[in-house]
Amino acid sequence: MSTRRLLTTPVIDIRRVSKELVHNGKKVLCLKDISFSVHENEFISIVGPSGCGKSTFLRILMGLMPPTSGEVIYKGERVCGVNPHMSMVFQSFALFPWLNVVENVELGLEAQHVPKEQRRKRALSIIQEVGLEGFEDAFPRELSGGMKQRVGLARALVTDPEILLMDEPFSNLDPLIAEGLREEILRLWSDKATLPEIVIMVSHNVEEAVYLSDRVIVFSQRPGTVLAEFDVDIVRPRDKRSQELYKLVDRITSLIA
Amino acid sequence: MVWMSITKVRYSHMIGLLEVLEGFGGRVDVAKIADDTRLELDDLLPVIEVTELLGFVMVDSGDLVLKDEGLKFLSDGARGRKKRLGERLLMLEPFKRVLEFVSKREEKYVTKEELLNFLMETMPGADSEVMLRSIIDWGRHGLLLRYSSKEDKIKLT
Repeated sequence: MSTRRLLTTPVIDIRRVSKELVHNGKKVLCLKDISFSVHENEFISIVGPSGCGKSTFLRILMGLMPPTSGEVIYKGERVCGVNPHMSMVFQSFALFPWLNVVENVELGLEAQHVPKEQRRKRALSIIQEVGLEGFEDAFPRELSGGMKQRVGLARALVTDPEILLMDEPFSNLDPLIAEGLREEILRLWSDKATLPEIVIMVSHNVEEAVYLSDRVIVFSQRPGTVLAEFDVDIVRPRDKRSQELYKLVDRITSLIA
Repeated sequence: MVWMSITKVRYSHMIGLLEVLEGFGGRVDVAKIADDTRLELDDLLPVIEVTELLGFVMVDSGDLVLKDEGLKFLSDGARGRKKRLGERLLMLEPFKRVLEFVSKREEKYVTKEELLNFLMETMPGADSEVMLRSIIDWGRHGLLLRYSSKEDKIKLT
């Protein structure tokens, strides 16, 4: 376990989170006793087999749904309802097709009752940072998958969240576009200016999880529980094809298989 | 006409290719890229063509090589990339012609229909609708053009 983590107070403390859902009229235990903590400046990935509850867990983390038992502690306080310091990027982009790029991005600020002029200014600024300059008046249908996801990212970042959650952000993109966007996210996170310090990503792609993260948390099959945590102690910038990386990917993959 | 490939390729594909190439240290066998990205050669080749056309890479004995300009592009910030891309796009016929066409207008804008007709006249044999969409898309990326579908105006920046 990382020494730095042992010495600092966690920003998020997940304590024995369990979740029961009703499926076809029956109660199904979806998540069981999930416990781990998240510290400052960590890029964390959660991996696990399909249907293990990773996405459900992310929603509980953000406060979009409550746990059935257990709690999520954010900066020492129990999370009740949506955490305004967290934002999410979705696999399916989730853009409103009748709004153009700047309007989609501004949406994030409307809920915070930010005055109109400031909303526009802030939206334009984040649009520039994520490489969307020139597309302010474009509609989602005019954009490639990669650009749509950038809009999703801009919308999540416009509120200046402390924690960015990403639910399979690259899964709906073709492989070449996904490669480019991964590097972009890494760059925006590393320069500490655009992305918040803490990123929590759910992915079914173990290679991508290891490449991007400081720590990888492995969920079991349903009911999802923490099987293992792996520190990725590989110095950045990382070589995607290093032996070190491959070995860790192998270890994790064999756990999931 | 080699710049026709530009209609098959999106900016995000080009970025992906450049990042993959950089990950390989700047030089790699084209077949290895196809393998690594799990792309069909048919899909990869147009991306290579466009990236080469824009001066960021070159093909040398079956290897794809990252050129200095490509490395600079990757190291650029968001605004820098757009500037650099805009400059490279302006070296291509379609963009030169389109920008000239729009700049000759008093109000400095054209409608989609007007631009479509212009393309049909000056580039017969090309699928003008596809060409139009591509020029608008790349033009936006390079900060050369703005397009508002609501107002039906294609403007210079």
